[in-house]
Amino acid sequence: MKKIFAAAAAFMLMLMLTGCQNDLPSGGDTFSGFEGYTQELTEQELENAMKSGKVELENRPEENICYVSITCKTAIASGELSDSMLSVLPEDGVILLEYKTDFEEGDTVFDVAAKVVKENKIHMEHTGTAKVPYIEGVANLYEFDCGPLSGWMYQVNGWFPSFSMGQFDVEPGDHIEIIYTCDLGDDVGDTYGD
Amino acid sequence: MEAIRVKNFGFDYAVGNETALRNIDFTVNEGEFIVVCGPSGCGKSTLLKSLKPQLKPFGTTKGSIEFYGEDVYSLPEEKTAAEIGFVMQNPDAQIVTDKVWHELAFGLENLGVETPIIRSRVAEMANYFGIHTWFRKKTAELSGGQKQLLNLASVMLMQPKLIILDEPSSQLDPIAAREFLENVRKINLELGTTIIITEHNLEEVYGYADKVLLMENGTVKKYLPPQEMAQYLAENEMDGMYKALPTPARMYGSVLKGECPLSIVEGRSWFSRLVNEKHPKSPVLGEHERPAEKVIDINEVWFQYEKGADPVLRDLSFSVRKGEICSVLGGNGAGKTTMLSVVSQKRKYNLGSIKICGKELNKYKGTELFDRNMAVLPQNPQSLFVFETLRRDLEEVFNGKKIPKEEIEQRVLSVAKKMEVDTLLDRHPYDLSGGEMQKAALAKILLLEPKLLLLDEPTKGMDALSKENMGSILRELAAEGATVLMVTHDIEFCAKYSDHCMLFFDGYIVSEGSPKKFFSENSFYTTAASRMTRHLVRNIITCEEGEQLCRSLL
Amino acid sequence: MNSGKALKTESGLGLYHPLVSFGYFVAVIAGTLLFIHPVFVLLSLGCALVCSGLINGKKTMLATLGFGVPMFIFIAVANPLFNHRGATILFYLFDNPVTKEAIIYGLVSAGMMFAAVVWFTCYNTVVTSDKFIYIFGRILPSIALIISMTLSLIPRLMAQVKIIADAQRSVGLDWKSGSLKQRIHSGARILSILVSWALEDAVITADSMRARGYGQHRRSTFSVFRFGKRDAVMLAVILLLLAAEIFAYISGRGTMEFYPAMVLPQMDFIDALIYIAYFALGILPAAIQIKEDLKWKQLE
Repeated sequence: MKKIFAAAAAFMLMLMLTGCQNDLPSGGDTFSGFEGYTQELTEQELENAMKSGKVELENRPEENICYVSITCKTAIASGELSDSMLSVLPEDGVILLEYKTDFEEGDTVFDVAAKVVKENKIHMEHTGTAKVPYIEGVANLYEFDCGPLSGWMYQVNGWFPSFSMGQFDVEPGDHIEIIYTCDLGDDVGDTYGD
Repeated sequence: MEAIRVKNFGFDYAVGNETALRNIDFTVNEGEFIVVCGPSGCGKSTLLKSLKPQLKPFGTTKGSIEFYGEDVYSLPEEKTAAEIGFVMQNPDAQIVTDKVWHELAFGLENLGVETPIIRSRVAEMANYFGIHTWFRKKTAELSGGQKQLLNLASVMLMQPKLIILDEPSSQLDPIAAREFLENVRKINLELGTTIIITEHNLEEVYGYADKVLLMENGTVKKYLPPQEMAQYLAENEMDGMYKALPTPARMYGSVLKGECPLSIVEGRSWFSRLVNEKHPKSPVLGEHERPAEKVIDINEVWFQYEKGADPVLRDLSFSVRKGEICSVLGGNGAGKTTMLSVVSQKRKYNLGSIKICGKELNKYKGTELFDRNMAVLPQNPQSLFVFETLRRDLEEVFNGKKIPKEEIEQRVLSVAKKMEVDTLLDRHPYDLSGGEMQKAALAKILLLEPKLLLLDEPTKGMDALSKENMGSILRELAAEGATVLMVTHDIEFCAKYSDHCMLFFDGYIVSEGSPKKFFSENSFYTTAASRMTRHLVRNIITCEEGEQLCRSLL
Repeated sequence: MNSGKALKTESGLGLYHPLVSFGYFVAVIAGTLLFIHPVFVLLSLGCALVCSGLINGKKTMLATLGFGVPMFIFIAVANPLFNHRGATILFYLFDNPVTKEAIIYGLVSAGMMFAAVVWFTCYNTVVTSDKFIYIFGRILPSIALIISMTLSLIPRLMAQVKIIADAQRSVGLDWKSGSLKQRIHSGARILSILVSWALEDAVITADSMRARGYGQHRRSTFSVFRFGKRDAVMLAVILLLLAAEIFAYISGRGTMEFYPAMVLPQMDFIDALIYIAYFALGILPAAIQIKEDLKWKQLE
């Protein structure tokens, strides 16, 4: 009796592991965002990274407000998505547009994003910690759903930081966009892949 | 028709110093039942294995062995595999597969026989041996007797013309052994299969024999019908072979009058003729006085294997006194061995009390019980040996005890001498014969200086000489103050050497008494000598007493 | 294994030829594992429990439930905690969504796993080692013989270990008491004796095999099993039901999408037929068993 149970248990575990993942399309796991998305930077490194491209706004509002957009236009256009996926995504690929929200002093892009998706009942799954979170899927659209180079990125005021959104402190008036790429950012205007 | 003709056969082992065979000549006719006997180490096994090409040991042969007129070694292997069957001593290790039906079919599968043919042959054979009731069982679940019967049946399935059996019943208890040998006899009588068999204990098989082949030092000493062989052995006392004969033959041998009886029935009428109007007096039974000191004291003990199961020990009470050799007799599965395992703390009893040397059994902690107190001789003595020489195994007992090396050597030697294994000290324990190994195991146990010895079937697999040896060793130990409790099926041994006998039945002791009183009151469960003489003379128990009586009648 | 008496190894499906009983379990377990679909899982689990109740006896059934129910709960709870897909968000836990789809998928896959475990216990009762060896032996005869030999060796070794341990204990070396070092020492001795004993026995076994002509000829494989007419009929029934199963799998009717959003199964006529076939397959052993039990009742 014990024997079957042991065999059944092992078998069950195996199935569980595959079962939890079984909607992942197979293929080379190449995206994983930018390498920087999963590494925690030191203060110094953060400062250097900011200097390299942070966009300064000319007139920032007094209050702590910012705007969040979530889009996946290239995914919709790619033709890679199944009908069932398309049925849960907006036709134009705009999941959230310029959603105005307030934030606390010291909130990161991730804090704001997590708050916004909850307020709008939008699905978002991440792994990792709040300091270096990694966004796997938003609105049930997951990385690799549109090929090996696809996944979620973010930009602030038009700039794609190369580090995790858990380390980017939001400033008043920031325009945050969480954006789906099918080609490591090339199709949405980031030059990282080049 | 000649089944086997051995012509001037000789054999030398390629390695080792086992007895070689020299100048062996004999023929066996088809349908004969041949008993091969001889002291241990006389080359019986080598001869039997040489008759079966697949089992012939490595070495060089001279002369020839013919099987139905053809040289046995140049016959095709398929033919000899099927037509010469071989049954070995060890009932367990001979079994190859896990199911009874598969084991039966194994030989025919090897010959590539098709399923429908195997099916009908297996059915026939299973019926013939009464195996059909346990046909689908697992081989591991069988009793020793069933296992050996299965081994015989699986050989029989290949339809052999000759079956060779090498001490096939020596690892079975006497009742299973008798049943097994009766089956061998049945094959011989009903199917005409030729039988060549060796046995330590000739009591049963001797009467079946058409001819007896007596071997000594690798040669054939005599090849005679059993009656003549008995006479020859009586006239030429030879290394215990005479003592191995069945009781009727021995009683005849003591006077050599009339025709040699082989069975109890023949023995009774032979004895009647011998007595012939003389009125011998029955010996008077003396008072049975037991020592006062109780070494084992069991009171109203109950034991079950698991909750709700039938109790194996029911209200069991008995005592063993200091310096006694106490025997417990009883049928298979009566719970005798369970009783021993309860006494030796292997199993915990449910109710009642057991005192060992005056102390409650439950109060013995760890291995305290076995520290110069109790020792158990296991049924399988090889389970005691670890090292490559017997000497190291015996010396090992003193490990961890601070005793000078010289003293250890001296004590080992003295015990080994006492057990008559001093010449075997540098041998590998596994190379010893059954009797030797039993004695070596006893030596190891005695080094622990026990006050109380528990023995489980101490004479299993022993020839007559070894039994006598064992008996006198036990007597000596008892005289030195040790106490012995043994569980046995061996009525003759029990009658000869114990001080007190008990019959175990249905979980308790049904009757007990001195061996004389015990066996002369029993009508079925008694010795051969008693059964042969009781209609005329009471209280004759052992074969020796019978022989004495016969001599006094001349 | 089990105390045995309540097990129905030699009745119902167990009385059919191994090909039939083995084939049956291949079909039913494959179906169970392939169809992650609420209707199929419910059918399979229900049938498995009914069959187990009829075949396995009370004791085994209780043991199965004792293992299966906690496992079911564990998987059903674990899935939504680790799998966050699904369009219908119920709430957020540690900034990740817990979705209705994941909960339902968890329940369905837990049910599937539970059903598979129960089917395996039934398999274990019906397809005994000798039946398995028989099936296997037709493909790889020598391996089948090795399995058979091993199965006979294991209980023998177990018995020998016990004998040795008892004997060693009576000369004061008890592996169950003393310091760890002493116990390891005693344990090693038992093993050492066991090995030499086993080697000695192996020589005898080899002799016994050779004496009965092993290795001289191409072996045939004997079995006690006969393939009769009723076996053929039953096998045909099973194959027919299996065909329905395969059709369901190929046509995609046996699977359901859970993510991102669940589409409730739209039952059409063909679906209904497939469900009936699947139920018939699952309930087959129970039906055979009940029919047999009823016959016995009539005879009484």
